[in-house]
This record gives sequence, C-alpha cells and structure tokens, in this order.
Amino acid sequence: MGVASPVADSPFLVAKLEELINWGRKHSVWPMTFGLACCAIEMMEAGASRFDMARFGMEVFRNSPRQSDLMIVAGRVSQKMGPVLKHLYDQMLEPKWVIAMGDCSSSGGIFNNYAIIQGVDKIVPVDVYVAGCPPSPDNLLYGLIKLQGKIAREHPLHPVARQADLRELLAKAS
Amino acid sequence: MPSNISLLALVLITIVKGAVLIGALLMAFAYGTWLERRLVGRFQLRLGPNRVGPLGLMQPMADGVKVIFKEDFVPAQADRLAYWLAPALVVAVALTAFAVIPFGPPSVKLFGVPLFYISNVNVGILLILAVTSIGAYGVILGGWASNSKYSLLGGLRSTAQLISYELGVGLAILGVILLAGTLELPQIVEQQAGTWFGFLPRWNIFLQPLGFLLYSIGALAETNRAPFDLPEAEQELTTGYQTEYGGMKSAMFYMAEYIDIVLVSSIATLLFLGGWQGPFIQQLPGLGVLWFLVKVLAFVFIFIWLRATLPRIRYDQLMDLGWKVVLPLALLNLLLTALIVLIWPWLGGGG
Amino acid sequence: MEQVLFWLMAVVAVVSALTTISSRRPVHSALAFLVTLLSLAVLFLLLSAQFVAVIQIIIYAGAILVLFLFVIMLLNAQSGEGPQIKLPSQRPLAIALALLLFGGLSYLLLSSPLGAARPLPAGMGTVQAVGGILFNHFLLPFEVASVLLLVGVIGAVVLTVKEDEQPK
Repeated sequence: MGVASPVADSPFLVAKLEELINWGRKHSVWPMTFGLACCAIEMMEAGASRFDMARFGMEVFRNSPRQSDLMIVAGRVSQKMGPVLKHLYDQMLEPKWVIAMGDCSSSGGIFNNYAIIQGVDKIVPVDVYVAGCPPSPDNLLYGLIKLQGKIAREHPLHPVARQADLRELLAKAS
Repeated sequence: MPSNISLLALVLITIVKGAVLIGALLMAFAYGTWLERRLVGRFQLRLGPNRVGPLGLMQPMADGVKVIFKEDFVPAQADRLAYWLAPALVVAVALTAFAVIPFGPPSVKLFGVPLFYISNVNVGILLILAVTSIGAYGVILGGWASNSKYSLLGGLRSTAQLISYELGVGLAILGVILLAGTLELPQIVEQQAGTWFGFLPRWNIFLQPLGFLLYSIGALAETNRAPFDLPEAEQELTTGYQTEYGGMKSAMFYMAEYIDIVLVSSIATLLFLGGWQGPFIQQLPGLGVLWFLVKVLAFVFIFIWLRATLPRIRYDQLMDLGWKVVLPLALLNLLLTALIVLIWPWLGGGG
Repeated sequence: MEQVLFWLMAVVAVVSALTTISSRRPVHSALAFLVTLLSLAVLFLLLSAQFVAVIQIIIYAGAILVLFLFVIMLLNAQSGEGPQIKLPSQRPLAIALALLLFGGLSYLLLSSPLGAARPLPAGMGTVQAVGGILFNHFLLPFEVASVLLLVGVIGAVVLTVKEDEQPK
C-alpha cells in the first residue's frame, strides 16, 4: 500500500479509505466452486432460489482460485484431499477467507478415524466455523454474514493495528 | 472536415467526446454486470443482488473496489510483457471500435461537428471488423503468457472460435452492405428511414431475416457468451485463458466482454434494426439516441436471456455449426441478396 | 500534422521490424511484427488508401499473424534457439543480397519522377474506387487469383486427410 505510518500523518483519510475497502470486500465475497461432500449440496441450495446468496453479492462462484475470495470447505477432508485443498488455498490471491462448513471440516465430525483430517484448520486458517451435519442453507448464510462482519473489522492498510486488536480480543477472552 | 473551425478545436472536441464515450462505456460495463446478475436471478426465481444500495445498484461499485484492492499477481515463469499486455489489449480494442459507431442522427451538431459520433470514415463497418479482429491477440496472448495448460488450451480454443465465426459474421454483414451500397454507418441507417406499406418500419431485418439470424449467432460466438462460452468451460478448462488472471486483470477481461456485447448489439441495431430511426425523429432529432439505446438494450436483454436459457454446446458441435451451417447459409444469403439487388435495385438505398 | 504522423509511424515500423528479426523469443517477434503491420496500415491511411489499410489489418494482422502465433505456441518454441545446421556461406550471401536489393530499390526510387506530387483524384482509395478498378480493368487477374486461392484451399484439405483414412 505504501502507507508507512498512516495514523500519524492523516488518520482521517486512512480511516475512510479502510472503510471503503472493507465495504467493497465485504459486499463482494466470491466463493470458489469447491464442494467435497454432502455439505456441498446444502451450499448449492444456499445459492438457489429459496435462500439466494446472490442477495449479498455472493453468488459469483468462480472456477479459478485466482479470482475467488472465499473457500467454503463443504464436507470432510480426507488425507489425500488435504494437499489439494492446501494447494488451492495457496493459489488464491490475498485477501482470502475460509469457512469450515459442517462438523466434518470443523472438527472431523463423526468421522473420527485415520482417513479424515480432524478439522480443516489443521492445514488452512479458518475464519468462520458453521456447525451442523450438514448445516442447513440458512446456517451457512448466517456464517457468511458473520464473515462479512469480520471483514468489516479488518485493517487492510496497517496490519500492525490488526495484531493489536487481536491482542485486545485475546485479553478480553482470557 | 468542416473548415470553419480550427484544427485544434476539432481535436479538443474529439478528445472530449472520446472521454465521455469511454466513461459511458465503463458505466455500461459496471451496470451490465448488475443487469445480468439481477436478470439471471429473476430467470432462476431468485432475487439477485439487492443488499448494497437501493435495488443493489451499488453492487458493481463494491465489486470494483474489491477487485482493485486484490493482490497483484504474476504466475511464476510467465511471460511478463505478454501477461500484462493481453488484458490491456482486449479492453483498448473493444473501446476503439466505438469510434465509428453513430449513436444519433448526424444532423444534430455541436460547434459544426456531429455530436453523436466521433468520426465517420469511408470504410466504417470494415474498420470495426478490422479493429475487433485484433482482439483475438489479447485472448491468445493471455492464454500463452500465463504458463498454464488450461490457459493455453482455452486461448487456442477461443481463438479458433473467433476466427471461425468471423467469416460467418462478415458474410452476413455483406448482405446489408450489398443492399445499402455503402460502408458508412450513418448512411446505412439513413436508408432505413420510413416505412413499408405505411406501417412496417423500413428496417433491414425485414429484408435480411436470415442475415440477422446468422449475425446474431456469430455475435454470440464472437463475444464468448453462452451457449458458446466454451473458452471458459469450467468443467474442462477451469476458466480458459483467464485461469491465471486475478484481481483487476481478470476484471479487464470481463470489461472487454461486456463492452463487446454492447458493441455487437450496436452493430446489430445499426445494420438491421434501423439505428436511431423511430417515431418523432423528424421533429426532434435528439430523440434518436433514445431509440438507439432502447434497441441496444433489447438486444443485450436477449443475450442475457439466452445465457439463462440455453446449455453450453460441445466443441465439435460449435465447429460444425460454424463451418457447416452458418458459413454456407451466409454464402447462400449473400447470393440471394445479390440476385435480388440485381433484379429490383430500388429495394436497397444504394441502387 | 501528417508529417509528424508519417515520421512517427515510419520510425515505429522500422524499429519494430528490427525487433522482429532480433528478438530471441518467437512470440515477441510475432508481436513486434504485429506493430509493424499496424504502423504500415497507418501509413496507408496517410496515403489516403483507406481500403488497403483496413484490409491490411483484417487479413495480415487479424488472420495470418494469428496463425503464426498458433504455430509458435503449439510447437512451444519458447527458448528461441536457432536450427542446429547452418549453411556456411549463409551470412555473407544474405548481406550481399540485401545490399543488392537495397541498391536496386534506391536506384529506382531516385530515378523516378517523385518530386512533383500530383493531386489525387477525388474519391481515390475508397472502396468504390478500388472495387471499380478491380472489376473493370483487372477482372481477369482478379479471377485468376481467386482460382489460385481455391487451389490452395483444396490442397490444404487434401494434405490434412491421410491416405489410409477415409474422409468422413
């Protein structure tokens, strides 16, 4: 961005620009066409007429990871799928977010065995966990709106402040 | 060139007109995406984007902000020059072609120069064909420079499709040119003034129904729209030649696609649907722009309607359609038109 | 204005032509050749040969060079190393022939009465004028050329169909 010490120079402008960036990012989260198991059926349902993710500008399922902002891990991730998933995540351009949809991708769910990765957060950073087996489309929509709120709180121009925020949150939690 | 104003003033007026036109086309791109998403939503019994601003009207702005602030990315071992050049080239080509499109009657003048088009050249429609044929380079270079197999295959496919259908489109346009006896777009439109039998508009679509159909098929294929969107067939090629493009660079490919849709709609309107001709055009010539925009919007609507309705066809079917159906029919249309113009020269304006 | 455009386009054409033969990557050569073709089209426009300019872009830039690019990309000739076998006397012979061509062209150019530029007849270079000349004065060469092209098309089809394979 080229903004070294934004707060000292002109905090007003930077704050506004950050709001603008966050506004754009949060209203235009394009997911990747990526389904792993039964949760993917519910993900498709969320894009269909009854629930319609399109209302939030999120129906643009991109086929290429280079053009998508959000990876919805919809289903269990087997040990063999893990490297593929990591590869796709690495191919996405910053900023990128991950939703672990359903119990399997959040924690392994009912598949407590050697073949399934016990939670996708073991290989990629997860922003929002959506519970359910599978979660209904309105659960996923709730998770997406939570993600929008999370994006709105980010500081794209000075990541240092973001860490300070995190520390504050951690202090509150403990 | 009118002699009563200086060259400098002419250049200045042209620059201002060009800037206004480019601004309008970029807005057309932004709201083309909005229109498409809303309409496809409606076709699928959904609502479409409606949360950002009234009726979701700010949705293109949010998308634009997001795309601009995305990571700037070049794949490893990509050809950097060609990788950067490709998206810029397709957008520049799409914008350049509008230099000879007349949006309204030439009788409306500002400072002695026609207000509604930038230039009128002797080879008008040929110039558009020439400029758009350069657009193929953006596609093939983008596919090659990305250093990815999907991109290369998508680029080759897309270029083969563009070249195949350019023939059909060119021959379909030739029918209209034979009738009109000129290549200048304002003249072609002027010849479509008036009515047949007192009620039917004297548009070329009624003289060239086959030509119009073939042009529409070719236009769909040339803009890579459904059902001919094979270059970005996601099942086989991820996103075709755009696979490795992200952020603003991929947005520029979309910009070119939507501006191309407006371009082919404008050409169809000028050649077949009577351009700016419409009721009350004699009393109020400025009204012509409105008629023109209405016809272009109707054509764009049909583009989106087709996308929501038809499934994608296979690649061999696409090539069969292009070479075994569209091309022979276009040749037949050309022969018939030539015959008719020879027998009844008064049908066309040129004679 | 026209002088400025002429010199600009002439320089661009020469520089891009030099790039075409000196670039190490075949795709860059093809791109430079594209720039040469486009600047030549502008030069044609300055000579009020509008039809030739547009046809130059449609045929050469829009079709033929795209096929060149196809071939380059399908053969994946990225590295740009030349052929291994080199003719021993190729370089001096090429230089001599080029000098000969340059000398001949210069002689013709200098001996022709270029000084007095005649004013162009009205409508010269337009589609109507080119079409009229082509179909009135040069009808036979035009038809012969079209037959030649047809032979080329049939030859290409024959070459692509293998002998043991029945055409569908």
